[in-house]
Amino acid sequence: MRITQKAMVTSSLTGLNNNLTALVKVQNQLATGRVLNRPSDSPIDTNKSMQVRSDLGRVAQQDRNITDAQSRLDQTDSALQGLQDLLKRVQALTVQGLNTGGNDATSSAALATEITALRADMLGVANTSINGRPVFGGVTSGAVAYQPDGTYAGLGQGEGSPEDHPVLRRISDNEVLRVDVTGPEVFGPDGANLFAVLQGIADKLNTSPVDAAALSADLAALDVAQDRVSTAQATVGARSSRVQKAAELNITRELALSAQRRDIEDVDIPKASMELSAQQLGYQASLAVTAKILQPTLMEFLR
Amino acid sequence: MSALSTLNTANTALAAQQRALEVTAQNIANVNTDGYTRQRAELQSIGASTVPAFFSVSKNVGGGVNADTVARIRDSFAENRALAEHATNARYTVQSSAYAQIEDAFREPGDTGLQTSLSEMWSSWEDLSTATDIPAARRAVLESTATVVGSLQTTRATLDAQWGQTREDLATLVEDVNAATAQISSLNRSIQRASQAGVTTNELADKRDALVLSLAQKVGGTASPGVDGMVDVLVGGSALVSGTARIELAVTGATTADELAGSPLAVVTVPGGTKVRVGGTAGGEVEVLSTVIPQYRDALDKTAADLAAAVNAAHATGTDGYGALGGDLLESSDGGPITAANLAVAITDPGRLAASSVPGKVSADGSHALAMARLGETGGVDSGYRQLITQLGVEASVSTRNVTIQSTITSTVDTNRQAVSGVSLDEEMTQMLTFQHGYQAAARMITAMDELLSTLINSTGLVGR
Repeated sequence: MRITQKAMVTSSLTGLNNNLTALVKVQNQLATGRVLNRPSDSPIDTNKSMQVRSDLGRVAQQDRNITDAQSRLDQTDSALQGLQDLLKRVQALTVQGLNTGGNDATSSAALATEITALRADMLGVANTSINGRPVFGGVTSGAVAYQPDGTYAGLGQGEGSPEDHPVLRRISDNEVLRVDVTGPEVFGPDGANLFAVLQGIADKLNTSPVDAAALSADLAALDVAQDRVSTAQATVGARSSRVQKAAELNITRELALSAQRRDIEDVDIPKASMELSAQQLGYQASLAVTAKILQPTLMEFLR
Repeated sequence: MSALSTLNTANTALAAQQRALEVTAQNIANVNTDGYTRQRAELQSIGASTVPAFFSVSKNVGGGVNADTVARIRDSFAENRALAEHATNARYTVQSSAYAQIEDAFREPGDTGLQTSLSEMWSSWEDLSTATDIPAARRAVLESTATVVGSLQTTRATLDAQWGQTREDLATLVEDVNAATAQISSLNRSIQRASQAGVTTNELADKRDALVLSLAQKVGGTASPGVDGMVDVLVGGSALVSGTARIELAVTGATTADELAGSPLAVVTVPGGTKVRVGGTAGGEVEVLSTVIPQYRDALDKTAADLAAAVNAAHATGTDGYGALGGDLLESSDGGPITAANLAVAITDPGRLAASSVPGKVSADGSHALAMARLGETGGVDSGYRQLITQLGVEASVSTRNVTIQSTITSTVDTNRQAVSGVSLDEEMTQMLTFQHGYQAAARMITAMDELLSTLINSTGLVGR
């Protein structure tokens, strides 16, 4: 093959250009810190990256859901705890009221007054709210779960009932958890709920003489109510531990996904630096060779 | 053979070497000229008279040298190959840069692409599910939906702008081609006249062949030699230039991407209106305009339509903030079928967002908002879109690779061409020496003959004087 000066210049230029292109590619990767800048850089990695990004978005979302669920469950739990304390006091007062021998009408009336006050306290607990919504009100859009007369004003009657409208939080990709306990589940069905029982006790203590047999029946009803509250507490506790577990899993998942995303998108700095050095060397070599080769012609030697 | 005829032989030698030196000078002068083909003075010995005749005085020694012909040294196979490879290279380059622009339009993978805004939209629904009664959460869903719509519209508008730009480029290119064919045919005419007059046409032919090469890059085509040193240029079977005659090209069909379905784009001859299968840059642009961009435009429209269908169908089963069933969330702003361009958010009142699944009642239920959020995983829009981006990535990387491979092929062909027709300074130096020595020797020959004659004229017949 016949080699001409122009051919040499052209091929030198092509070589220099190729080297420079490779150099710029590595330089670009190092400067942006990313190896994946456009879909054609690696279609498969692009797909993975988009998937991981949307997974990461969901993980962040579930993190918010978990926080919300946790605070709701905590609020419910502390309300239930307060309710337990109130119930104990009511029980004690009722037992005291049963002790008709030691009580005259005045002290019975005092007991009745205290129980009425406790009923109001319980109503306050029942209307405990979080973010302006009653925790025991199900999905109601109203501000209270119970009216002052003790009737349920919430929406959602409890698990299994036809009026069931659970408040759900998504705590992982495939786990949706119920985070509410409705009023009827805690206070009993309307008409025979805790407020009616308390009202009944107060009324009985106000009538003289006190009907001991009826008051005993109310005491039994209080036991049932206490059991119901305990059950609700246990349910809330169990859900809370599920939420905690989900929170841990979520953090692990987020770390794993972030690592995966970095693996796919981000530049491997030691590798890229090595590549940069290699490309630089190649470029310098081709510059040096070009300078050496293009210098001499026959003219240097003809005198 | 007389002494005077030897002088004449030496004289032709002087003239021939000088002409060869002139050609060498021309070669050296054009060592860096693009499209220059090296030339060579064809030295030919002048033979003695070979006609037998009674009074023949020939002693069978030739009569010197002749350097009338100056040849262009080129390999016509390599030249034709160069036309084809340059055309293919130009076509792939156009396609590859179109794909790069489409990739830019989609902005994936990154924080500004549609994927991110879709994720944010589903996320805002999930946020709404935990706070249905907070107006800000409802507002956030509307805003994030508007962001998705905006993202789709921006991408679509970018693609449309790219289409329009490419269409304009194609029209300008065809104008260029028409100018080039006019020049080629007029050069053909000059070459015809010059060669009929017996004048060297090398430089004209160089100029014309460079034009043919640039024409091939623009619209493809092949050159076939005609009479009197002219060439015919054929593009996709139509003779654009045939000797001194030529026809023009024009672009017909859609002027916006929307018209494409009704009137496909074509490059046709004027006169005649015959469709020409063009190659080169124009071929690449026609392909980009009629296949590549429309393909991604349609896919984007489909994404928009799928999104609207999925979101509206799901939204209609929920209950909004007023206790009514959810209406359409996304609609077409012009009443036509939903595309990425006319997609619009149909709801302005945040209360109309269906977050609840308690039918017929106003409630704080958020389970339907949660179901809407799950559309991101089950609705098929996100996965369809990811598939679209993967396809774009594959096609774009294939086209990049095509360009890389084709550039290598093209530069190899160019090197081969250069190897034949390029000027080598070393070679020209050697030639210069050779011809210089030839010239010196011929001059010495004349001196020798001069001395010979001088002896004859001045010293003959002086014996004994």
